[in-house]
Amino acid sequence: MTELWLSLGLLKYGLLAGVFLGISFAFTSPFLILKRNSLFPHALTHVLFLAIILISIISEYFPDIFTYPLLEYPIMGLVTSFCTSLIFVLKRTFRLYEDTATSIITSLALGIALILITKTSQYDTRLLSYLFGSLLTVTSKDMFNSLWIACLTLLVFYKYYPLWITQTTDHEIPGVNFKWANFLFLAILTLQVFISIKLMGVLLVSSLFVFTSVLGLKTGNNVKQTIFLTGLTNLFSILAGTIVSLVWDIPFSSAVVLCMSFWLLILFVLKIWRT
Amino acid sequence: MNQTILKVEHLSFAYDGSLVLNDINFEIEQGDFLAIIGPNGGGKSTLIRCILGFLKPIKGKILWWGKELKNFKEWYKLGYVPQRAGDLIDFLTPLTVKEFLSLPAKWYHKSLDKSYLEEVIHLLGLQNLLNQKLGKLSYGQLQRAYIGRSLILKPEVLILDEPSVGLDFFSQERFYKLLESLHQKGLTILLITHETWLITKSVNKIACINKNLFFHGTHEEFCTVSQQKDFYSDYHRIEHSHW
Repeated sequence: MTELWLSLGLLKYGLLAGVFLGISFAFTSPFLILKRNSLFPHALTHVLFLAIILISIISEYFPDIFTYPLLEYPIMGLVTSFCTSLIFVLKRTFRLYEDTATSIITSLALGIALILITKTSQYDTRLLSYLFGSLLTVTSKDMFNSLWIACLTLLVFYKYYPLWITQTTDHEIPGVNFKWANFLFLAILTLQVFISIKLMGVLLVSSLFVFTSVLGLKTGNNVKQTIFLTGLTNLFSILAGTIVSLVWDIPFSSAVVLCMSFWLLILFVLKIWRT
Repeated sequence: MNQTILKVEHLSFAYDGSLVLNDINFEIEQGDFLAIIGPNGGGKSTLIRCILGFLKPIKGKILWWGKELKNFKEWYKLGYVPQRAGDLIDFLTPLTVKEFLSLPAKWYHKSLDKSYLEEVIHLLGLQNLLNQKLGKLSYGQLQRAYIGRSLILKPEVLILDEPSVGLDFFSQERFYKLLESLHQKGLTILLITHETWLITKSVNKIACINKNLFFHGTHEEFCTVSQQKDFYSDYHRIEHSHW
């Protein structure tokens, strides 16, 4: 038991970051599901992985550059906007479906990232932690980043929630422009994915957006309940995942996914039992 | 003379170079119940989407209460029920009818008149559905919820794009009776339909569109044999050419 408490002390930044992210995801992920865009974070991780590798390479040549807070974000923003523009160009020029164009560009981004990894000797434990996630690698800076992203999410949600929810029932409303609401929704999602990659890893970060929101959407009787239940199950999953990963010595991200699946399984059994 | 609410002047619209609306001119006055009829693909919904600012015409002017579309800001004066309303809603949609009805107040930063809200809820028979999720409603109930939402800010004009599609005959009949009662209460209505047999007597103006505006006049004028003959000959000629 003492060992467990000691470990939790070591993981406090990761745990707190998880708690802040778990809360902020609850305000965006249900809308992602309702917009039938649940694969978006998965696609985004491929692009952000390239951004992370670029940041890693730059920091190798200019070690002091990322000591300034928030300097990674312009690079991440540049790579993401460049890839998004490529998706748009591909969609328009070749008249492709959006998901097809997204698939092409995100695979290309991942391919380039892998080439950069092998050619610039980036293949180390840090890379593995980006791929699979780790509570230990989360620093106090990451924790504060998660906190301000959670605050930003709440602010944007408060301002644009009526437009986000309207898009689940209507394509267009007279006199209402959805451009800013959509742009900020995507910007917040990108930030959330970027920050949570360290915690959950490129491979499993999208699970944070899907499992619990499905649960919230299935069990909530209205929008407030849906968000509350999504947030609550996020927190339970992250806390339970931490303990499970420590007790059974398994990766944190997979432990969280297992916990999330467990809540879904309970829901499934309850549904069958009720019918 | 009644106040002119909407004036459409020489409106033309094209999708990828192919003309969908050609030189459309008409007006809606306060208290009108205008039905826009025409064949599928005739440009009825495109016309509505142009006058609501969703599409940009290649030519012409649209004036709401004398203001050009780009200067018009009082969108809350319009209630709109889109075509195939409810198509996006499925079993996961978490919005309840109550939350859904309150949305327009948030879009246009207006406060909700609680007593009027109650009135709309009773008028549409939504009182037992308020806490139901939209995903659990039948198509007819959803349609009523959409109409309720469009009425919630006391609009001066109600615009409905083929609202009775998907409703059974009795629901359609009830629905048109509801429109009649709303019109009698002073609401100006613009209704798009291709179900000409369902247009009630309360429709006082009719516009027939198939790329061009073939007819625009009163219900009585429409009912005269000569006008019908002219309209239907054009209508069928163009319908036939589609095949």
